[in-house]
Amino acid sequence: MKAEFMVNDVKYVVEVEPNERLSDVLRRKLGFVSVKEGCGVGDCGLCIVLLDGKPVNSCLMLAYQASGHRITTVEGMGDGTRLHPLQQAFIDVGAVQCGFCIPAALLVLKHLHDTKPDADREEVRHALRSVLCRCGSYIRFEEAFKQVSRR
Amino acid sequence: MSMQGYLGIPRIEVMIPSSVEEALNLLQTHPDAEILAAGTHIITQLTLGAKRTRKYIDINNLHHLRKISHHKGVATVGSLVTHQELASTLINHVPAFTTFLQKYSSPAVANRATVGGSIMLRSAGEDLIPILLTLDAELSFATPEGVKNVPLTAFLAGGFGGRGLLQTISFKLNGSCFFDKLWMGVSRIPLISVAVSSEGDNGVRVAVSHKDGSTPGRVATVEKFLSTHVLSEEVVEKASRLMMDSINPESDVLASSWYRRRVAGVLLKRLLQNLRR
Repeated sequence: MKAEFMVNDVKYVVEVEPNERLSDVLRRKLGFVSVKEGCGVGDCGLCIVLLDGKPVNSCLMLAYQASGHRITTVEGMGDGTRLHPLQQAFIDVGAVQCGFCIPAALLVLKHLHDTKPDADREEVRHALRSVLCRCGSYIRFEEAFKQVSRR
Repeated sequence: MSMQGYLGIPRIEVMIPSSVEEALNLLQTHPDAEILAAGTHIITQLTLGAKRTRKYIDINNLHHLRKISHHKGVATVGSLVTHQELASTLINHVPAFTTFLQKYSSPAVANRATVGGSIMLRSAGEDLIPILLTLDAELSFATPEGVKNVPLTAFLAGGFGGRGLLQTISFKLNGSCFFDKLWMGVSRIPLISVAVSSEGDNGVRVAVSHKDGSTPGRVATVEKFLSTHVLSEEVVEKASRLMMDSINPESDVLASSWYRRRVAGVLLKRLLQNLRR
């Protein structure tokens, strides 16, 4: 079957099998390697992408179900020459340890920043609940969000 | 199942109807097929190898099932409405939805998981069910014989006789409906959850995620006790103890039955104290 969707403002028409998940197609067929598979059952959130601007687990969605939707991965966060302010803040505060959850953490915080730029600490923590960071870098994710909010 | 370290799901066949009639026809002609909504549960089960069904009827093109409306104190919610859409739309009418969202294990899942999917699971892991039980929810199924309306309590007790498509869920909007749960971090399964809803002079509705084993249900003994007593501090204490004695939750790897009983009593006490304020 055919799936037709936008990824980072580029249109893709892909032949997919009904059992291919969105995470399979984004990472393995289209090369968006920021989309990670951690647990594969929706607990860790490492496969999170933005679907029409909202965070969703791409391992819990079949690829054909994304037809007609707009997907954002971390590859689409910057403008091609400059990083997104959140990406820069992650570097500035040293938020990255192993790096495996960073794309997902950036995307959930981008959604929060887009919808509620003045979110308080509890709201930031609530948003980050979707992402399991094994290194425990949550405090620095919060700090990065705070830096961008202050600007 | 696994290739080069990736998980994957087995081959499946998917049919995508564009009308309710077509969906009902597919249900009749493919008795081995199941309804697929967002798939947050089914895809997980397929990935884990825990599900044998290989044929699915994907209802995501039935866009009219994504509507929420309310009129004269009753909400009608389409089965494809997501948890996030439901709670954020009706949060000002039902305070329980505030806690439902605050304690949601993964906000990203709330953006996909559907109300209809939660109900059809009939499981203690679905936080919505105790809330909807206290709001006297009624389910409306499309069947080849016409529309069938089934109270949620009856559906949980005996399922739905025959094959049909859950279209809408209707329930009362109640500004005195509260919810709380105990859960463990990223685990999507609550240890136990409790909802209460005040009906004024008609008493208090009480529902729990693990009434019998892992089946959610209303707690009639506690409701009966509360209907004959004014909600004093002493009555709250007694109701809390009665709750512990009136449910029979399962023991599993997350918690023992004894612990779940104790927690249900404590949560009920907190919720009833909310009602007293």
